[in-house]
Amino acid sequence: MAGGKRSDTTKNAMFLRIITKSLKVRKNRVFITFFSIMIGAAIITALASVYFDISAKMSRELRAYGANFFIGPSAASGSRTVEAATIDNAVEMVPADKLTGASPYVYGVVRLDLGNAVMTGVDFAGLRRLSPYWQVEGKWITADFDDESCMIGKTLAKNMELKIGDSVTVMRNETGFQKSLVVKGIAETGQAEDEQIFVNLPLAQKILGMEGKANHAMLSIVTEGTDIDGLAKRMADSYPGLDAKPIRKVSSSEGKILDKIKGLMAIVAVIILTVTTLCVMTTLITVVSERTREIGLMKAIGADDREIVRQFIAETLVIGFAGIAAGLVVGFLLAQVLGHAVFGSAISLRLIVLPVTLIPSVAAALLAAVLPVRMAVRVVPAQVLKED
Amino acid sequence: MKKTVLETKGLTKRYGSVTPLDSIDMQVREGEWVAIMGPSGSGKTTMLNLLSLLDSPTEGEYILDGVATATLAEKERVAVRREKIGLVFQQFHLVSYLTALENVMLAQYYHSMIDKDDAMEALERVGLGHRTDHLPSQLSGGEQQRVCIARALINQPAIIMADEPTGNLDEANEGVVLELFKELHREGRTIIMVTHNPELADFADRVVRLHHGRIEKDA
Amino acid sequence: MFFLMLRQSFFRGRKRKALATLTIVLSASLITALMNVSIEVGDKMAREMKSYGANINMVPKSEAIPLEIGGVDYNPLKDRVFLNEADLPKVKEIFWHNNIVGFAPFLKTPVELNGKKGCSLIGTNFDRQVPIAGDEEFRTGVKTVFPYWQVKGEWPAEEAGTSGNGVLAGATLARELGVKPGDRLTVKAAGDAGREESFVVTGILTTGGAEESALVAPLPAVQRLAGMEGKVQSLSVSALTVPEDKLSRKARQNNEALDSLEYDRWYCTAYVSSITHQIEEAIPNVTARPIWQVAAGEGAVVNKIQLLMIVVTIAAFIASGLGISSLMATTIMERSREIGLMKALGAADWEVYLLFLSESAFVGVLGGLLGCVAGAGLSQVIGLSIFGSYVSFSPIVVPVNVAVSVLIALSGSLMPSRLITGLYPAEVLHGRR
Ligand SMILES: Nc1ncnc2c1ncn2[C@@H]1O[C@H](COP(=O)(O)OP(=O)(O)O)[C@@H](O)[C@H]1O
Ligand SMILES: [Mg+2]
Repeated sequence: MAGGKRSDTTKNAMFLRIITKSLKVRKNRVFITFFSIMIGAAIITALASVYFDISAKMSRELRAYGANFFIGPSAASGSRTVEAATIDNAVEMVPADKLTGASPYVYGVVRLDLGNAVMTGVDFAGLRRLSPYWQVEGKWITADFDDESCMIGKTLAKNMELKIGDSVTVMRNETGFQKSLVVKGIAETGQAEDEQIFVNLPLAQKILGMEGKANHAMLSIVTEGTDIDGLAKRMADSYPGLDAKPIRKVSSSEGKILDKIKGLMAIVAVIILTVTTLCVMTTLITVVSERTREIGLMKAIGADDREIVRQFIAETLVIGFAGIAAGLVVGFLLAQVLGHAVFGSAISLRLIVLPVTLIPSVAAALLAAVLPVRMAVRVVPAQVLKED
Repeated sequence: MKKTVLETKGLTKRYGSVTPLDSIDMQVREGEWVAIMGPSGSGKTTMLNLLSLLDSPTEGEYILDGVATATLAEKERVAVRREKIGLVFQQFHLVSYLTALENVMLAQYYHSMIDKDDAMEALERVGLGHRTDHLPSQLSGGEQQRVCIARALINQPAIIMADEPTGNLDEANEGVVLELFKELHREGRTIIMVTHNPELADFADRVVRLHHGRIEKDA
Repeated sequence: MFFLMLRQSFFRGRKRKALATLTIVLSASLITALMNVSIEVGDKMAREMKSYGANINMVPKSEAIPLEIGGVDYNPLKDRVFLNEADLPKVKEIFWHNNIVGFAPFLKTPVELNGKKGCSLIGTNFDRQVPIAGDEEFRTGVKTVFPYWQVKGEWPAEEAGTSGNGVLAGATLARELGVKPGDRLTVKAAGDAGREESFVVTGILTTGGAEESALVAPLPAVQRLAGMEGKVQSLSVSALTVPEDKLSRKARQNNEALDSLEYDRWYCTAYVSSITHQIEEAIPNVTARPIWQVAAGEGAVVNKIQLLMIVVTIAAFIASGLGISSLMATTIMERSREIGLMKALGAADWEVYLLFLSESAFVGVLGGLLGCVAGAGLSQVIGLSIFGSYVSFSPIVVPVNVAVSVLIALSGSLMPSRLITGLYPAEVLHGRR
């Protein structure tokens, strides 16, 4: 029994020795095989990483469309305004990493030098993130304590004959409030904003006599991975005076677009995966076919078919796993390059990428090794040995 | 009278319209040294391939050590070859990435178990005790052929089959190889050797002459 | 002699060479498909982006500023200016008429609803035939322009001659009044002498906008009720545009600052600003303004996707390039003995190179060409399965692809050829390397 055991270990040792030698001596071929598997695994890893991150990334990009969530007074409350503090609390319910931007709005009609206009009070920092599509001439108002400046819609500016740097007197009949403001920027959106004058929220509240109040708030929320309808419901439940709802125009279109992009990316990834896998397979097939004579010789000196297949599988697995490991690293780096080139941000590492890379790569490598070996062992050794 | 180890009846090989081997009837007894001679293309290699089970005949019977080989599956043919036959090739056919010693051990590995000392001994016997760790590409033709012979002997096969073992060797190496075969013959092994060299054939018990795939003379 | 050798060597190991060619074909087809799709993806996605609604708003040129907050007008002007409905089809006759996906006119009028004051009735087209020059069958309306409008129930019938006035009730309004589809409403135009008409609610409308607190009816019915036949207040236009860039921004800031070359280029590019400009040219006394929320948002997203496709194409390009290079390398290595023999027979290194490289070049050209054909098919598969439409084939792809295939095949062969020709023939012949 002990002898049997000993011979077993030496047999295994010999098997290992054959494999290591084959890998060590046939350096060029091994390197090419390794390299080709690495490239294949790298591109699969990179594309899979990008694919699994694409929704999150594009969802953020789609925030270019502006607000997709509305908070206002509920119809039941019968009021046209809500407490600004309540809105702030409701906004806090949105996870910080999902909130792209938010701003409360307060509206009222004021008298300018040349006529009446709607004045809107906003949080400019939030508005800017909320509405990246605003076409602004001049400058945005940056400080939220700035009560000397205003921004004006393009149409209004034209009608009131105002230019950047001009000052305009704002007057509210009801409160008798009067103040001269400097036009810092002229904004164009193509919508109602073009006919409005924008100031900081506290200033607007003072002018309009609506201290601590707001008419509503607009939010821009990353929808991917957020249950936006659930969020709306929770908000309305927590603050009965509030009506919180997604803005259909933006949020429903977003889903459609994301599906398209995901579909596009998926089909592109699958095609690239297929072709890369084929590339790797042909390279392996060529490298293994080259060894037909060696296989014939092994049979001639008494090797079982199974023994031969075992050796080639083992060799392929060693090169394959080394190649795939390197490929995973390179692929992940490549994904970062792609991420920075396209989205300007890192692609997150996902565990799912591991099997997605591993399974096709290993399967392709094994198939590519076993196919030619099986073909070679079926040929009569005499024929194989004769060939040069 | 020694027993018959190998017997063919009407052994024929065809490749389409070509018939390199045509109805060969032959018997070889235990311990006999048979030289197969004949002009190039007369079917010597074809015959040896059939005898060593590297190829299968189109027609005819071949009984090796009492076993009718016609009905054997490929797996069993490999097993028979592994147990009974040692092969020496004209082109040596060593595994290029294994050293001389490892090439010999490879035959042990496929046969049963590894014994490094045995393998060393086999190499020493062919005069290569000092070159065990060299790759085939680092050995001369004669040395490679000796490794090939050591590999053929390692599993103590009853029959040695060699296809022009000295065809690629110079005279000095030819002498070394001839001495090895003489020794094997003395040990009582059956040898079937294809050769062009009449000097080598002189040492055989019997010379079979092939011509156009038929036995022209058997003496 | 060289050609004889080339032919001989080409037919040797045909199976594996076929495999190599096949791989190049596949890679080339992939690249072709990706290149085609990257070129087209902007247009395709721009079309998808139409689900965000109109990106141009056309209103009468007027000096008056509406004072509207949350759909309530604080300054209802008596003498308002209107667009002529008859002018509207001209929008579809501008230089970029093919890029006009659709348009929907709007007319809003204050009404009393079952005696309740302060409601609005909006008239528009849902999906109406609007004959234009060149396409008598052209149909358009909010269904194309605002695909996100959702109706629970039925859209009202709007073909001339259908009996019964259908109307959509905005979701908020319906909730306030407790209206359901099938209910009958009496609508009276605001003012003492306002006309009165009876409507049947066919569906409840959800839009996420101000329409939710109004009634929406077919345009002719509203015009009749308000006594403003042939008039509309605004027109929402959905146009396919290309993302804004430096030129269009310059044009927008100051149209006069463009030199004539720049002006032509701007005019002949489907920027949202050049389309609005052309609309203003085509119809007198209107202002067409981009709705930047949609126009700019679309630009940003389309740019991203285009960039994504380009970067992915480049990555795939490099990967398959390296893959093919290593494949070519193995096919050459496999023949190291042959190279040794050629050298032993007295071939100079360059002759060896020439033989192998011309072979690779041939494989490259063949693979590249076949790949273009296969890739053209593949891009249609992508186009149909993702966008449901064909992807046009860009001829530029063919030369680029063939050149690159050849280059890749050559570069893959060069490395191992050098490696092997660098050896002594004896080393190779005797399998010493
Ligand atoms: N696979 C094959 N296909 C066709 N003809 C073959 C094949 N193998 C050998 N032959 C032919 O059989 C004949 C005998 O070959 P062989 O046994 O190798 O001769 P030799 O006596 O020189 O060893 C030759 O004429 C050769 O052309
Ligand atoms: Mg021969």
